[in-house]
Amino acid sequence: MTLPVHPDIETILENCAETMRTVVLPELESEWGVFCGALLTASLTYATELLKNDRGAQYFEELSAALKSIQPTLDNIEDLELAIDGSPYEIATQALVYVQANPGPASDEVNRVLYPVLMGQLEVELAATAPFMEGWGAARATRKVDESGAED
Amino acid sequence: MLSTNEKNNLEGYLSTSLGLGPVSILKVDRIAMGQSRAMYRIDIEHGVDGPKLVRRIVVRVEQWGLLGTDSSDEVATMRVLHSAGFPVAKILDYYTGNDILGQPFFVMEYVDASEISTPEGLADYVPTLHRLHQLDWQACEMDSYLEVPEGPRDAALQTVERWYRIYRWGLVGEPSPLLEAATEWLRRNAPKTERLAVVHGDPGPGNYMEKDGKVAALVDFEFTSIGDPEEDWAYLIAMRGAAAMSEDEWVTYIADKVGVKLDRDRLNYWKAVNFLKGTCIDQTAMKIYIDQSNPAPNMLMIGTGVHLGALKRLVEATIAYK
Repeated sequence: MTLPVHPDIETILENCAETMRTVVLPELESEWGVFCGALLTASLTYATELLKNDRGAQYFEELSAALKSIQPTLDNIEDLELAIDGSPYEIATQALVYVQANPGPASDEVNRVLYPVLMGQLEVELAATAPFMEGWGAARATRKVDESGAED
Repeated sequence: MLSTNEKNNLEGYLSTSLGLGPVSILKVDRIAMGQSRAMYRIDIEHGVDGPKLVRRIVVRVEQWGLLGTDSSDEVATMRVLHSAGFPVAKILDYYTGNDILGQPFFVMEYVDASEISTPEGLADYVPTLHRLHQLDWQACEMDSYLEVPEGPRDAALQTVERWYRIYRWGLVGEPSPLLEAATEWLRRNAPKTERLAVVHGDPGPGNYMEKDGKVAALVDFEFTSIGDPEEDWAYLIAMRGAAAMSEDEWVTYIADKVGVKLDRDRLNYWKAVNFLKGTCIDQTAMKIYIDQSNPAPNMLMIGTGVHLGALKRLVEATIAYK
């Protein structure tokens, strides 16, 4: 999976509310407040998109189908013992780690099938986070020049 | 921002720890762009007899294990480097309890300088980083708290495992097949290290302060290790310094400035290790966001977009399948 888990929407909304209440409202003029405000907006946008489309469930289905399509190949690899009750992401992990150590036709097939699925999911997830990067950029653009000697 | 309770606690603590007598906090500003730690620029007033004196300090507070580090090694390193004459802020005190600010923190001197990088400052920074790589870490007893690689490939392997452990610690939900496969690739392709050195771990523009075209302070030592100096050059070139010039220009610049001739294969390997580092440490933000240790939205940003951006670069640098 390209992300270990999607955060649940309730948590996002609760955290946004908490940050808004304890950081943004008391400090609307502060640099930190502006920064949090920009990213809270991005958080809400991100959460809204998750509400519209359960991407996690879709990814599980995609990867399960991909694994099913190469099941005979996986079964024929003698020294690859896949977790019997493993999730698609656990099995794909085992398979792709095996591929690194065992180049050959079987590994090539595993790579050819699994890699584009996982990279496709990564690209979709990355695109979904664009509001954060835009928010970060906007906050930086409005940032006061800092003169601290101990930045992070 | 600090609550009233935290501010009162901090005033009491500073009044006993700084040796300045009773301290009053005049002003607190949280520095916005530091992500791994909460950073506060604080003006204090102190003095027992006569007129009160005003002094500015910086308080750096841990964030529930964000990025997989604590402050102990960072504080020790800053103390060593300050004593060795490097431009590093003086540590005033280190507090490991959670009862004052909710997390451990340390207090350091404020350095009056700018984080904005200039060509003149960069020309001073690269030799300063090179000088760090030449530091006799055994004489400075840095091996008393930092792990020392033993075998010729251990600098690379130890670094890979360090970040992989943090990935496992921060894992919530399903594993990442791409990250796991890339980590295996890095294990199998680990190069030998010719000379062990102090590695800053996060070098480049934004992590040094400059004044009048000179480096006034090196900052952010939470990832410092004893390892391969090429790790630092790769990080500078591919990460913090990427906006300043191209990789080819950097390689020439570094050779001209300090005489270090970078091997491109090794450089590519260490770039990939740095992408692994970013991928693994950024994931910890998702863990502490989901468990609500820290509800700030920058945790969600780091745990999603920043993490995935690093993962994409890691995959492209290691296991990309065409």
